[in-house]
Parts: sequence; C-alpha cells; structure tokens
Amino acid sequence: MLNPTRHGKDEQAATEESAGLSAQAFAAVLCEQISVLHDVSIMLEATLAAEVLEAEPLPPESLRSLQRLDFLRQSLKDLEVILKTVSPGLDWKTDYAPDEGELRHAVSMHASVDQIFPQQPSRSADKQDDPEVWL
Amino acid sequence: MALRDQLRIMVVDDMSTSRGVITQALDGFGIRNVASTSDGPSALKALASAPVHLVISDFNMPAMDGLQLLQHLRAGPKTKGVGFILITGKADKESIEQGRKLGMNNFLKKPFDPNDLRNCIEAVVGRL
Repeated sequence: MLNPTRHGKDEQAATEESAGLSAQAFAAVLCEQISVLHDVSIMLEATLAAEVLEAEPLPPESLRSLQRLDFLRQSLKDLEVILKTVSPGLDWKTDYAPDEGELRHAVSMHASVDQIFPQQPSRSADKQDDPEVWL
Repeated sequence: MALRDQLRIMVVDDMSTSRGVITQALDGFGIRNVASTSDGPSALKALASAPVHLVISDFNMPAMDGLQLLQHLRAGPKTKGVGFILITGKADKESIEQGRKLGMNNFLKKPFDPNDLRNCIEAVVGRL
C-alpha cells in the first residue's frame, strides 16, 4: 500500500540531493555502470568463445551470438570512452536537476539509480552489490 | 590438389574473438595456410615477406581501418592483386561503394556463420 506522506518526503529528499549533483558526477556514475557492463560482456564473450570455438562443426547460431557479443562489448567500451571524453564539457541546462523519483520510475532496476543518488537508509536493505544478482 | 590446399589467407582483425571465429571456420573448410594479425600495419609488414592470395579484414580497427588497409594493398606492387574481403558490422551503402572503388572483391556483414563466409570466399577465389 502506498503511503502518500512518505512518498512526498522521499521526493523532497530526492530533489534536495539531485540539486547538488553535477553533470560531470552524473556522467562519471554512468561511465562506471557502463564499465561494469563491459566487464560482464568480456566474461560472457570469453565463456561463449571457449565453448563455441572448440565445437566441431562450429555451431552457426552460437557463432552469430558470439559476434553480437563482440559488438556489444566494443560498443559499451566506446560509449564509456565517449562519455568520459565529453563529460568535462557537460552541464545541466539552467534550473534543471535530475529528478530521482522520475528516474526510479523510468528504470527497470532501482539499483541502476542507486549509484546516481546516494543511498537512503530506508532503501539500504534492497542494495545489491553483486551485478550477477540483477542478471 | 584442391584449391583449399593451395590457398593462403591472412585474417586481419583487432578482436581476438573475431579472428578466432574466422580462422576456426577456415580450418573447418580445410584451409590450413592461414595467418592472422591484429592491425593493418602489421598485416602490411607480414604481407611484404609472406604474400597471400586473400586478405579477410575487419572494417573497424584502430590506427588503420579495413578500407585504408585495402588502399595500401592496392598501392603496393607486390600486393595490388591480392583478393580482399571486408568484414563489417554496418555494410552501409557508402562504405561498400567506397570499398568497391578501392578494389574490394567482396564483403561480409556481421554477424555471419561459416556458410556465409564460405560463400563469400568462393565468390572471390572459386569453389574450395
């Protein structure tokens, strides 16, 4: 059951927190998240490659999947580099600050937003440090 | 002697997984004379001393992309006639047209399977 009063307090707290969040800090968190995904893609690619490339004959669909993973890994690395490169020039437009409530509503996993906004005690029990758990 | 026994191929790709996919597929076709390098400059150096019949190169590579490698190959007296297949994830009209102008013999879009690769090679060198 939703508690409107509690929800209102959360939103107020989120607004106060996000007002102090710089665009560069926001970009740095996104870079970190992309880096984690990049690491995951490396593991997946290595595991799949070890099995697929030993198979005789080569399984066609697995080979295609391996190439898609290769593309995914490279793309994630490029996104991280691009974001890192442009982040010194990033800034919020006047009077804009990211809204935690809006972001939490938009994402599939709240953990994706936890790194952007500091953890609040009421959510600490939900914290998941191991990315494998999300997968 | 079958063509596959005589054919010498060089695979150029900066990604070890992609090189593995291609070289394993070539091995499956019975092509044993396969060299591989991770970048264009290394490929050019290797080809100067050990020429091949066909180069299979990725498009997106740091330092020198696949089309730049092709340009260098076509400019070299010893390598101007080598067959060239470009492997690309995009296969956009502009890149392919540029490749054709530079003398690319064929191209293959990722992701591909061994059968796609075989057909692509046979379109350049003949039945394996």
